[in-house]
Amino acid sequence: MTEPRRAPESPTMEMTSNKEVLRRIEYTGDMLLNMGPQHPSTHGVINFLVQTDGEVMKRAIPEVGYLHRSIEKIGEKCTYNGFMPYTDRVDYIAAMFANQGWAMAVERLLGVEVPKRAEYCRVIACELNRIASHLISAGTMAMDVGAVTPFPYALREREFINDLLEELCGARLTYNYLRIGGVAFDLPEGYADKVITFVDHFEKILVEFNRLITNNEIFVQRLAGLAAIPREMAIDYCLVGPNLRASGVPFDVRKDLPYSIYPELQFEVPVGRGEMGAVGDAWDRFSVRIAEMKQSCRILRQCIAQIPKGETMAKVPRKIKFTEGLEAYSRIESARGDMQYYVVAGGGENAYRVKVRTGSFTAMGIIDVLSRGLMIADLVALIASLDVVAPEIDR
Amino acid sequence: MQGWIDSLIRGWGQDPATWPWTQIVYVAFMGLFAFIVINFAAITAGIFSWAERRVAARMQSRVGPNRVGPGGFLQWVADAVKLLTKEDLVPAEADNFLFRIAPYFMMVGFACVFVALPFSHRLVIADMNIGIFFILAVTALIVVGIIMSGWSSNSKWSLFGAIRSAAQIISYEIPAGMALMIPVLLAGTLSTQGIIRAQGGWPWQWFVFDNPATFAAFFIYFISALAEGNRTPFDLPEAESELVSGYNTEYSGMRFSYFFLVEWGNMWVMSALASTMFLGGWQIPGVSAAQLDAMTGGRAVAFELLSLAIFAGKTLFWVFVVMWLRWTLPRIRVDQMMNMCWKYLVPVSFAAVIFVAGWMLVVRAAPAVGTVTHWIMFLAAGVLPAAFFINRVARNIHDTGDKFDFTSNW
Amino acid sequence: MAENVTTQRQTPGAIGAYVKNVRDTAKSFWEGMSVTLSYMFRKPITTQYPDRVPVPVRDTIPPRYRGFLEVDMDICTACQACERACPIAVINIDILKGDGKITPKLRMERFDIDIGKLRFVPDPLVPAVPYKPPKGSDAFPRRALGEITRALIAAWDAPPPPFPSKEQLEGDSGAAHGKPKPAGLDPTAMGRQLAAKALQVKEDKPKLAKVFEEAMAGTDCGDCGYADCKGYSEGLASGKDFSPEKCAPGGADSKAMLETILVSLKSGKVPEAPAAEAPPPAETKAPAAEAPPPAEAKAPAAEAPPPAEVPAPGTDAEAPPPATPEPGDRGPLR
Repeated sequence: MTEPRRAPESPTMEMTSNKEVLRRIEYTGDMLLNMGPQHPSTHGVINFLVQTDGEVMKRAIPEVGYLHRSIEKIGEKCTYNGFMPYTDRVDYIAAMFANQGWAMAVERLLGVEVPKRAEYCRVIACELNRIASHLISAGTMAMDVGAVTPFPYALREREFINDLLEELCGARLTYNYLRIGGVAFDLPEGYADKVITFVDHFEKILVEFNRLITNNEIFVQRLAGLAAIPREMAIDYCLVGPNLRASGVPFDVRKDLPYSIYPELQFEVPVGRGEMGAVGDAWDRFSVRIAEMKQSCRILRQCIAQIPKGETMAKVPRKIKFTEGLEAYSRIESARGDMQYYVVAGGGENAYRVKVRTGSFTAMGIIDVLSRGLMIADLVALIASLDVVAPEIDR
Repeated sequence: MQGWIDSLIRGWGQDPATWPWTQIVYVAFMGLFAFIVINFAAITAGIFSWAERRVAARMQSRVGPNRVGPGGFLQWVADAVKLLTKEDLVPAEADNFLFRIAPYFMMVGFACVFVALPFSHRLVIADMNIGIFFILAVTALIVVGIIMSGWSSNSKWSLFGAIRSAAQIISYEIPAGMALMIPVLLAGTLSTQGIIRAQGGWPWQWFVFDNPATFAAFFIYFISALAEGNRTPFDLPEAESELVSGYNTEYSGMRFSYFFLVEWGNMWVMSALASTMFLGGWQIPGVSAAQLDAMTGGRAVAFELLSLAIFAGKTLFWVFVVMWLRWTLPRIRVDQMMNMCWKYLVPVSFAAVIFVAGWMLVVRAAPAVGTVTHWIMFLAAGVLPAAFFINRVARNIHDTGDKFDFTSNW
Repeated sequence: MAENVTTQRQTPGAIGAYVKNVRDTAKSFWEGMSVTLSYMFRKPITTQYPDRVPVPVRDTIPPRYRGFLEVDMDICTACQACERACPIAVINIDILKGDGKITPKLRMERFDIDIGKLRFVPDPLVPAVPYKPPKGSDAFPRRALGEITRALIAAWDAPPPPFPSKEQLEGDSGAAHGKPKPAGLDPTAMGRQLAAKALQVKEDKPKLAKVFEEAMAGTDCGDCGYADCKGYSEGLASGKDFSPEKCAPGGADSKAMLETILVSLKSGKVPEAPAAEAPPPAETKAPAAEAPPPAEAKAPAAEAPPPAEVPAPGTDAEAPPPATPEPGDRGPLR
């Protein structure tokens, strides 16, 4: 029996326990502030150990793991089909992408071709979900900076998307819409019209949203130049998705490692240009998300116009089994960036190893470096601008 | 009000100067007025708490509290009862005495302002000749309460809030004071009633449209008042997303309600002061103060109520603006708050004072210049922007494919 | 921090930047405030759930909504395929085995769903059912998702049957409160039968008590003052109690029957059937009015018959007959 391939051992790093950090801070005479895990603006249960001297922080160390639910381990205990509902819980703000990553990984193991119509259904669902996720991000960011009103506006638009997705797959948050080899349901009757109506409405609302908050001078002043991440640094720290693109790197998995039907669609990859301050500052990260919502609208229009007729499920064996040691890797562009699934098949109906790599986790790594010299109010804006989602960090 | 009590005593057939009970009567009336003022403040604050939530809800496309009483109007009573019956917790590590006493400092600083604030032509507790000075001095007590509460809570978040608040209120008192100097200059008195009498009933007779400097001074005062009242965009001391709840994080029950009573009551104070100093106060259009003085009997009462309504209307409009700002704008950062005060408001307010002093000389030499400026300012700074703004609002509704619907789903 | 904040936009000239900042701030106030004010004059997007919604929420959920949890027992063959297929072991089934002829081979005894683990996943596993569908159909007659639950909800939400008016209540009082005996058995005949039985077992107190108990409503209501019907009947049988009118649920029927039994026990013979008896169907309709005459005739000690007085206060009270409540009136009770 051959041993399945294992991940290479990580190089030894200097591990600093939180206790160590606390001890060091005590010597300096600075104040240690525990921001979290129950703080209103840490976006879930994350703790930040903030070393501060008055309003100006010296350092903020993220402490993750409060929301660890061992989803990857569950993936090794479930069947391939049975893991699909769990992937929803990896990132509940944008569950459709987690579905798609898993479906694509197992499809690569199986070697099945997903029907064209199913691919279109997936892209429509994913782009709707991307808009919903970016709306949450933009709304909470405005709220963390102190403007409360944009948040209900964003949630209001998200409700329309939730209604659409509920009609499509029967759930509003944890969709479990995708299946290995296709999608669970075809588009319902009259769905195309509803999507187009929503997109028309949403593009008008986006203009209004920009006038209310994106171009608001106080908002700009708060975010412009804040925690600017230069291009090289963003690549070094493995930032993905809108955070990376805000730093001026036009990397989008949909364009650069195309999957699904994205090569057939026309859209642009918005990058941060430093309009208000430096390239890669918090305002750029915000505006890149706003621009991506517009591009998603564009993709939706094309999908609705081009969707072909046909099957929505490929022929997939009822019991999915692989030979031991087979492995597959899938990358998709989630709302929070490059989401990657790595699966090694075990002998039976279960996987031997499942690994999910998410954008929020890598974004946590950079907070320590960026936070030096910021103010406490800036830390809140920084966390919001990186758009971290606690369950996606810990999985 | 002393004159009114004196005349009352004379009505009883006594001479207030020699009657031995005069002092007792004064004290009794002082108690009565204090009772009325505190109740007025508390009830206004309560009603504002309801109004703010309804306004916020409508602005956020929501409905808001509408179940208790007609339109939810009695919500504030329900909340007050809830807050008063909640447990008054003192954290174990807190400084017990300071923690308990801090809200009263705020209450005192807030309630004393009403002594010099006018309500209508005759209705003012004490028309002091140093009215404005008194108001500015007494408001400073609030910051003492905030620092006390933040320090005694023994919580890092509270302390942050308290220190921010101290820095903010003390800084912004300078532009606020300078901006209030301008109406004082124009009227030549510190008495609130005297400043109102120096203005007229019609908008172009108000100080705000007197000249460009007063127009700027009005906004400087308004921004500073927002900062002093800890309202968005200057709500740093209680920034929810940063400091959890700032200086009142550890408070609960009745003491917590005092903080919010002061916060909402302050909206009346700042708006009333704005309408007193810049917007003509209780002046009735077309009726001069001298005519009002001369009135007697039922006619006097009717006009008294009319002037009260006008004053309250102006004040409530600005209260609405304060709420409106809160639900529109983000919060500024603490260093930007300082920048704004020392780099923008303070220099402009000083420049405005100097400009107004020079302007008064010009107007004294050529009174026609003043009248023409009134009219130009009124049209250019008042009517035109308002018209454009209403147009803009209508266009907003139209642009998103919505339609005007004010009445439904209250 | 100040170094970090320095932005490109502030570089053009100090005065220019100063003025520009003020202008931008004023402009963003203008824009933002016009947006928020315009929402004051629009209809709020939220609804006032649950009582002030224009359409009930259950009518707005789409057909694919999967918050419903249902098992169609009509097609269940207890194959346990769903239990095996469930990825998180939410379903627990106990089965009974039958002989395959009278009872089905496999029957479901217990179908448990662990709500704590449940994730409301649409069931992709139904095609996995390995058993053959019934003859003549090419598949199991599978119902649409949520159909059973929707039918149940519709039944719960349907307006209740109109509340019976007072007249109807009184008209039915005989039938409703009468003995749960099959129709056509009139209390007089029944009473005579029981009386004959009672005479046979006159000396055997427990058996006599059983006969008395047969004449009662048998609800164990305790209105008679005894703990249950058995106590009352034992009291009557042992001769400690002589009042036959204590059985409230039995009403006039019970009273008549008990009277008949008591009288016949006393006199030693079953009373004769009255000659001009109303036909039985009429009696079932209004037994209260007809039942007592024989008892009254035979038992001088018996009190005045109640039927005459029972309706009397009723008719007085209901001078204006109450209108039948409309189903809609009961809305708030739901």
